Amino acid sequence: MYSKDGENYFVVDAHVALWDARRENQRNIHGKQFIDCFYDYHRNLSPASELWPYEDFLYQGGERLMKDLFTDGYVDHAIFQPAHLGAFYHTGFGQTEEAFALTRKHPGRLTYNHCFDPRFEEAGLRQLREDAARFGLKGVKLYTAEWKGDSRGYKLSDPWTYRYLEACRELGIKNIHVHKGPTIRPLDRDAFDVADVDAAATDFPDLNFVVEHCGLPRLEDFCWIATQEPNVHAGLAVAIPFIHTRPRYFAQIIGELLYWLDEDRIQFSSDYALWTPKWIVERFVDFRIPDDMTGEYPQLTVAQKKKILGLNAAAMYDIEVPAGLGLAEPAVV
Amino acid sequence: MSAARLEAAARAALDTVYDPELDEPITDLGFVRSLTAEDGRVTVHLRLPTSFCSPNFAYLMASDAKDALNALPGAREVTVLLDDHHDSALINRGLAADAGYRGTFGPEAEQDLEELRGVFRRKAHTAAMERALTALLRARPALAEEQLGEVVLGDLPDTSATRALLRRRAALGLGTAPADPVLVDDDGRPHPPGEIPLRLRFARSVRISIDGNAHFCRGLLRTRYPQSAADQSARPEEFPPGGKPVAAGEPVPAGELFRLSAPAKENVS
Repeated sequence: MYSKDGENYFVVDAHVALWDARRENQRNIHGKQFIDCFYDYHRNLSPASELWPYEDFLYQGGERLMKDLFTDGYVDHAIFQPAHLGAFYHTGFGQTEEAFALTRKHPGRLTYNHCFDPRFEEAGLRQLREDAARFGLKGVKLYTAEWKGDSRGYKLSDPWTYRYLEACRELGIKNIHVHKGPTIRPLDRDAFDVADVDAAATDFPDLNFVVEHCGLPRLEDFCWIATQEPNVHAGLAVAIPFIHTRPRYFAQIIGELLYWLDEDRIQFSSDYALWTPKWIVERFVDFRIPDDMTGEYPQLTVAQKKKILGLNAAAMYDIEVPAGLGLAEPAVV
Repeated sequence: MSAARLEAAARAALDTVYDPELDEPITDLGFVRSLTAEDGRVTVHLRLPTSFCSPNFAYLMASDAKDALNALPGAREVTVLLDDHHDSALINRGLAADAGYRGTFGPEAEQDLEELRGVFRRKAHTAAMERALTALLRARPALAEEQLGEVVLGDLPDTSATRALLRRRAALGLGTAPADPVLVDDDGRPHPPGEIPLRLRFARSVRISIDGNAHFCRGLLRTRYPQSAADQSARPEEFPPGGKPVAAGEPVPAGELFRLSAPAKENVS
């Protein structure tokens, strides 16, 4: 919980990872390139006081994660959204066993979402059923740009993905987090195109589709879809750190999202360990649309900030909000 | 042609090569890492903000650069190399062999990149249209968004934003006559009156997306290659009130995002 100016904010960090990108886990040069790219994101968008040494960035471990999120970071509940990246790392990038063990050790504080890959076809479907039972899955994280053999990605609208989504529906996995990454096959399409989310969201109206990074770098296509599909939500991972380097740009992003989606379909996430939640939560609660931009965008309200920082994700994941931390009108999913 | 003259010509040729996504020349973005010209041999190294920048756009910029340099009368032998990319080896082999896009990527590519290029040309036009109209709204407070459907090109002031819009329209084959309406769809057709605010709003989200990408990509390039800061020119949005450009390499805490009339350097052609 974060408190400021007499207001209390229940904080759900809807996108965190426990990754291992240490050299011994790197399968090839791409494992190094991938974590180096993340580290540049970290260095580019973090305040100087929050910068980590490279070695710290490669791996954090459970103890440090608990401290960064819950002891220092005001987070009440965090949701793991692992990326497997088996083509780059021996044991994968997201550490399933370690994260799940941590979730069991701290019930009520952590939710473990797992990933699936429809290119494993029948075998993957069986695995999804086993994973749903073992982890008690409420959500999955899909990284559509994942490399697998000759394939550099898949789409949500592929027939096999639909079979997996049908299984999700049957297994009670209602929250589908989608991360559009920068490589896909065939290459002659726009890799960040979110049109496949539109198709899946229309055909699975009972599932929630949370598009991470709010569709950036295709914010406009995402907003156009989300305004028509009530089950499409925006995750603020990567977008929210702009609050430090480019607050006026962040004002436009959040202003557009509130215009196209409304305040009930936007979720805070630090994208830990890319960034730590402490400074982002503090800045977001303090954030105001600059005065000269209020012609384009109305000022953010305290209620909107409460919904975005935690109440929206809490409603989506049935996370109990302690008395006094909710709003008079509940957030709607 | 002397080495110095060839190098200058090569640099000017690279100024015409655009990042289709960011709608800016690769030279202004700092993507040209080095350029040498000797005895008619031109060698260019390109660098990008991350190892995982989209390989299709990476290829497009590199092959456009090679085409632009090959067109120079004094260039006998042109080598373009993409550094530090996850597909560097593949792309550099394809460029050296002039294998073309499909020849470079094989089964990963189904058709050529012209359709993709067209998508981003249309986005660039939409963004330029929004910049021009938002500037007009700010300059004329009595003008309501609902009235923007009646605004024609002749109503726009002679600013870099207007000139950029005209160039974007020409690139798409849209009319550039003073009586042509400004707020149009990708085919140059005006929108029904009831849709004007929504269409402006959508155009704004396109512009914000491109601006955001440009900020992030430029920043990441400076993080990855600190020496690239000196090669980058500021985008118009990075000019604070008063028109003094911020030094590249510094985050801009509160640049005047909507200020469009002050750029010292054209970087939307």
